[in-house]
Amino acid sequence: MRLFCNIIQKPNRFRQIYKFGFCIRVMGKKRGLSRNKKGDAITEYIIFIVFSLLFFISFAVFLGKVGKTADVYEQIYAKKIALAIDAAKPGMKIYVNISETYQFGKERSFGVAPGTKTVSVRLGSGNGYSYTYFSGYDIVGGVYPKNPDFFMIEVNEKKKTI
Amino acid sequence: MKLKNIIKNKKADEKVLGFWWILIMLFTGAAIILCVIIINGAPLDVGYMEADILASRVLDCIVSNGYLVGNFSPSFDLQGRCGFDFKEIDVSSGTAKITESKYYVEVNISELNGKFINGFYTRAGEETKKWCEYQKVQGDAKKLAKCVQKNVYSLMKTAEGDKKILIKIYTGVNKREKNAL
Repeated sequence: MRLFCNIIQKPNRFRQIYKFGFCIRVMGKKRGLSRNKKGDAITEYIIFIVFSLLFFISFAVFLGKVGKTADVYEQIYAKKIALAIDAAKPGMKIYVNISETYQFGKERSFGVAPGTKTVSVRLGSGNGYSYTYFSGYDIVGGVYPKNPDFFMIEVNEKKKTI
Repeated sequence: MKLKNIIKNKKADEKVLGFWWILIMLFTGAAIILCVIIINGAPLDVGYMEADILASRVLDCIVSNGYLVGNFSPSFDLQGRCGFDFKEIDVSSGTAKITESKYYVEVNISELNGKFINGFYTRAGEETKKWCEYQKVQGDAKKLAKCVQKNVYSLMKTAEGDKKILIKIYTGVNKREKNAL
């Protein structure tokens, strides 16, 4: 690009220069950095760098925050726990790591309702989300009392009723 | 040099913060935001996983140590024998509504030459099967039921000795409102 820029210099009042990945067509004679004042050029570069940094930092912040809402995490954990229950066999104890949910505040509720076969999750200011499972076994679930970073699921054979 | 002159240099001299730079930055930013919104806006669909787990559970239930367990008739009690409960109680409308149609299981047992031996399916979930059949015609439609088929070779004990059989398990989960909408 730079080579291309240098080669096609035209013998008229326009000239082409290479700057920041672009071949720019400009008027006038080449005067270098000291065309006006050296300080102006430096200021120009600094402002350009600051603008670029602001632009990319704002995107990094946006990408870091997007998708990490309480609603999305409620859905993820409800479905994750429901699938774990579906795949479990009697006698199993499953521990699901829920430590990531602290980022939405200490107010959080995880629960399994065997009557409706539903896993419910509510995090911080989220709306709450529930998902059903199809396992017919006796399911006991709750935040593990010894370590609140884990949600414990206990699967037992269903007691037969006559 | 004033900021106004840097951004829009009327002298047409060498531009640092030129129009094209700003335009490209804006286009790049817009493209990134669009991609992120599309990816994050996609439904968190676990239908396939659920159908796959269901098929594995059915297989674990009817095959033990490589042998088919029990006799199957069309009235085979899958839920009672294999530890499933397909009943769903929906209380969102104010009154409790029990549905059993969200899950479909079909098992076909045949000889290796294709001769049908036995099989069963869950009648309540026939609507789910219809959606899956429709899906075959329409391709992988996002807002339909998710179905999985597993083919497993097994052995069946007969009076003549062990017989090689093919078990086809077809399962479907129809929770569109939770996975696709």
